[in-house]
Amino acid sequence: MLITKQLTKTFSRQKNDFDAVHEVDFEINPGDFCVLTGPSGCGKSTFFHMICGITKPDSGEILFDGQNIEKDSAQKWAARRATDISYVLQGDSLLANFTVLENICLPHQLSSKSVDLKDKALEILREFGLENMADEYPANLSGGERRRVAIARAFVHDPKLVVADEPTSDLDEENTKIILDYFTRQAKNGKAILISTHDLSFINDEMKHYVMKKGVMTKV
Amino acid sequence: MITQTIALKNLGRRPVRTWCMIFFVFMLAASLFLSSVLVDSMESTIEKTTNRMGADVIVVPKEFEREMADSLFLGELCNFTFDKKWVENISAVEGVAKASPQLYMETLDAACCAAPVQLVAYDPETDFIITSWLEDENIPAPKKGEVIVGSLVTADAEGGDGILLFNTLFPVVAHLEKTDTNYDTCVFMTYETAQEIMSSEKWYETFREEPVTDELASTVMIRIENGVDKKDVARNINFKMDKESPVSAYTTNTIMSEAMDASESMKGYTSVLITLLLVLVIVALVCVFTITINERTKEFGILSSLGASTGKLCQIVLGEGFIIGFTGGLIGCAVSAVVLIIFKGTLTVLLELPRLNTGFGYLMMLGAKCLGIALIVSVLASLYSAWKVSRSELHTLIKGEEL
Repeated sequence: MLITKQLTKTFSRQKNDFDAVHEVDFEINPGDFCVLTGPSGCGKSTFFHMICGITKPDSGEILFDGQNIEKDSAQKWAARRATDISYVLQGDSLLANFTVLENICLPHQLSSKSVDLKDKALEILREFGLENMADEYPANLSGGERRRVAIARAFVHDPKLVVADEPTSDLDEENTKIILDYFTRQAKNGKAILISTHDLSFINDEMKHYVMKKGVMTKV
Repeated sequence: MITQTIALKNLGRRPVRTWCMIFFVFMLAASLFLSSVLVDSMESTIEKTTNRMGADVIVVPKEFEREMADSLFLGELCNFTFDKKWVENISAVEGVAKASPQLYMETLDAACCAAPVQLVAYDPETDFIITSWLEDENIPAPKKGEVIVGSLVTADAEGGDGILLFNTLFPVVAHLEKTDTNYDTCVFMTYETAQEIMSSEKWYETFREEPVTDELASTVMIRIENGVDKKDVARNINFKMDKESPVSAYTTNTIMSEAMDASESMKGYTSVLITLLLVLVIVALVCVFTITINERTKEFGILSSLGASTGKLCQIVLGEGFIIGFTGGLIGCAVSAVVLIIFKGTLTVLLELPRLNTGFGYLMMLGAKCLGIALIVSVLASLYSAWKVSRSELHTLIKGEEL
């Protein structure tokens, strides 16, 4: 489904160039649950940004469903994020002015496909045990609840690939389990899931484990 | 539609900021609306009075041109006179095509008169002003003892269609159409009827004199020959008149010049004020929008990470500008219109204006114009922020860095 070939991104810090991501070859297919681990600043977020079209790679290729997409316009990438590739930002990514239900539904209506996602959103909220929170504002939710809402939003429009940047960071064991169980179920339903984390304890045999160090990715 | 919903939600969740911005636009729209009404009202009164008068040159007693202007522009009552024998001399001056005397009298604020109004007597033989109004409205010339009244003069209820002047009820044979000039509050009659009034017991009781109207005039209205300069005619009259002459000739524009100057200076002041206000409001809105947008980079980052294109993000920002402009502009125009309608009389007296134009159609048109300007200003102010958002890298937005 998504393949990267020799994907590289170079940044400059104090007049010195360095590869945040260095010639990464990676592949994820429907049903895969990939976990990317590595220390802070190793290039995980940069890699995620490149495969989600937020940052342009300096070299290499990105293939999605067989199409070369790394040179696509910002408009095309925006449309892709609204349909096929969902990206869950690191940390709190809910819109403070909107209720839980609006947070899940409204952003997707900004894409060209203006479909009513309310029923689907309520269904996912039920799966996360947040059905009573639909009309609450993010300020009234706990950290774990907010993270679950962000993940519900990533799945509501039925994307092929979900990329989540540290979705379980700063969460307690119970919330971490709820989120990982949901990801596992979705992977079994055929979704491709790619997440990053510092926590190695939950990694199991059903997951494909990758490690990133100084921009270089290796499969464990 | 969804961008408008998001814009509305954003504004609704920040009520203090939103109402402050709306207030800026409100001030602009209200100032623009009110000043336009004042300037337009002054200009239209001058224009309508000049057009209605139909004279090129006016002859009035020396040093009474101010009273004449106040009578024409502000509707103040006047009763100055001079000897009518000078009319013949004036008629004979080169360039004068028609010259017709008018006699002004004022009624009393007492039981003997219906109301304090300006009485205007004219000579049907030579008149080219009032006669032309009557012809235009298919009204026959008033006979001796009859009067014609302006649109704002009401006839006495008790006496039927008549008006009480110095204890005599004069039949009103016609009402002139509304002209929005001070002629609307005048009563017109021939010199013969004026003589009847001046010969009444009440007149004598009040003024202790029995004037002969055939010997009196308050003004001479002059129409000049084609191709002649009205200034030259006025100059000729003043030059050829005897030094003992009690009159002076002025062009209509000169008579109205003080009102015109006042109108021009009011227009100048309001233009400066509105320009300053415009700059102030734009700067204030740009500042508030820029500060707000910088606080909201993360929000735009989240939206773009979910698939919102930069075009949609710009639409949200411009949508907020539109909503603020529309709300502020609408409230500004509506409040100004209501204030004008309610306090019309007070404002007219306080600002020494002849009248305020509060016609529904005019206010609607002006409101649409002011609302349009308020919208343009507000959307322009948000345009800079929208441009900054559209030029930003997505990862900069996601990190929430200052734009």
